Amino acid sequence: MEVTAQAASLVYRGAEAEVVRTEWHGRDAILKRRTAKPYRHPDIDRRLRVARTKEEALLFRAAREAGVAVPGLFDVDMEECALTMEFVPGPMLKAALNEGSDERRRALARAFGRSVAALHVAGMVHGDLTTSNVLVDGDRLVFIDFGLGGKTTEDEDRGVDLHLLMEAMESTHAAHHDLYGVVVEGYREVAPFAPAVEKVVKEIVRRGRYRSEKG
Amino acid sequence: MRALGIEGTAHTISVGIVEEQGGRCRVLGQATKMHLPGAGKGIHPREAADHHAEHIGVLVEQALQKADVDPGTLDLVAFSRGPGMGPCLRTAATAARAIALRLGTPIVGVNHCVAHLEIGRGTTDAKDPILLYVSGANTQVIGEALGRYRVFGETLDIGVGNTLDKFARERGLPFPGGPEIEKLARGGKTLLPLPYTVKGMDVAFSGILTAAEQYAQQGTPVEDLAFSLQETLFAMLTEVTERAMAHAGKDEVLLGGGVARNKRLQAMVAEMAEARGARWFVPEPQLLTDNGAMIAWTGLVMHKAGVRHALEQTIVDQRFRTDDVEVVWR
Repeated sequence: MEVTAQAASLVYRGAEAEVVRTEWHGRDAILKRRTAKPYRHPDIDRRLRVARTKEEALLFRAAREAGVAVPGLFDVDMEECALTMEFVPGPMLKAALNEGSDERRRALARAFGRSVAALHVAGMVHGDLTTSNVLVDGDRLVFIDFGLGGKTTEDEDRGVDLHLLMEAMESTHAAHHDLYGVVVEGYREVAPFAPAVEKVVKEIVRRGRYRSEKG
Repeated sequence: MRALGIEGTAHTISVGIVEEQGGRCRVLGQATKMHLPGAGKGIHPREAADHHAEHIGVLVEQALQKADVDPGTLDLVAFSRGPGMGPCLRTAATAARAIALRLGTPIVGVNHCVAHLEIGRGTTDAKDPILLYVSGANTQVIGEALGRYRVFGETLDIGVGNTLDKFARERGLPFPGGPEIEKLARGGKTLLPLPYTVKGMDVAFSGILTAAEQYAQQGTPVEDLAFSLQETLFAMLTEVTERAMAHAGKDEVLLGGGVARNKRLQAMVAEMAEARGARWFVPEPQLLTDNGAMIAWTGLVMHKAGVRHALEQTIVDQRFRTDDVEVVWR
């Protein structure tokens, strides 16, 4: 892969990967490279980075086939544990939810729930459903970072996915505490198995230490 | 201002006396006793509570002696209101009420998990950290957001300390398992692949125990097992901590809980923090395990911020959530 020094600039250093703005054959692109983590044993580190990069590439395709917007994938480099993909300007859903009007906020939350349901219906989970991992492109929600996702049709896994979303919403959007409910409304519209999954979420909340039934 | 705190959520009963000096916590004295169930046995709440009731009186005396303070100079009594085992909590609360009534001081009930974070802020330079709180029963990643301490991630099944303890029990190692496993791990060379379960900012450990047990039955050296267990568990914990820091935009990490005494975990968190240009903090070892000083200190900062608990508000709460506490003192 050719990345010129001038074109490449770091846009985000996440916990797991660095995201670099670059060019790919004349197109605006994002290079997501899973960098080695010196704190962990090299064998664990290599195993995780390779597995997550490979899985993410596969899930990108599966999501697209499910009708959920994801950036177009240009290149997969297993040696570097790097994906090159189409550049989507954003903003993150996290910012959009904290800024816009109440009506806009609710529309986004509902669309978020519908898209998550579409992923689940297609037999996959995202694995890291925080509002930092969804970009808002006009009325389109573009899902990124499938690195912790997987193929599954188990309600338990879907519940874990949704529970994570709930935790992320509660911790990051605590000021708009009703938004998770709107997300679930959207989810119900698309997922026929929503009642079973919601039951799992309640079960996880109950199982989790020192969390009350109210969730 | 001076406060006495009583910790009694689980197997440890501890009395600590602290004083505020220039906004920092100074531990004047502390006395602690741990209930150790017999080999191969788990903790029974009633037995632990009996143990606490038996020792609390002496511990209060010892803490006062170590601190070299007159009881009359205490301004506040604090106790662990939860979360924890009901009988243990009630024993500590009863003792606290008796002392507060006797001395005529105010009394404050403290959230145990919040106290692990506050003692770090009180005794280190941490200001707005993500706390990796790792003990026997608890594994949480906590940070402040909008006036509450939020749980960003936690274990989906058992606590990391209990994971180590269970492994140790199966291998015939003494309780608590962590220190023994840390020693053994130093002699380990081969890393065995173990399940690595990170879901967002949550972790799960039970699969690791099952896999470790299978290796053990195949005759794998216990040193290699201990090594692999530590490398895997702590990498997971460090990863979710880093995720929470990135997600919440915080550049400080604080360690708390008994498992945080582990040098390998400390080294991993330090390395992670340095790589992201963040600062990391770990309180003194005796303030990592359950201790009365952290309760005293948290009670003190709460009281200073105007938190007042009438006697009838001092009922314990076994499932006291971290984010049920309104953090008015920051």
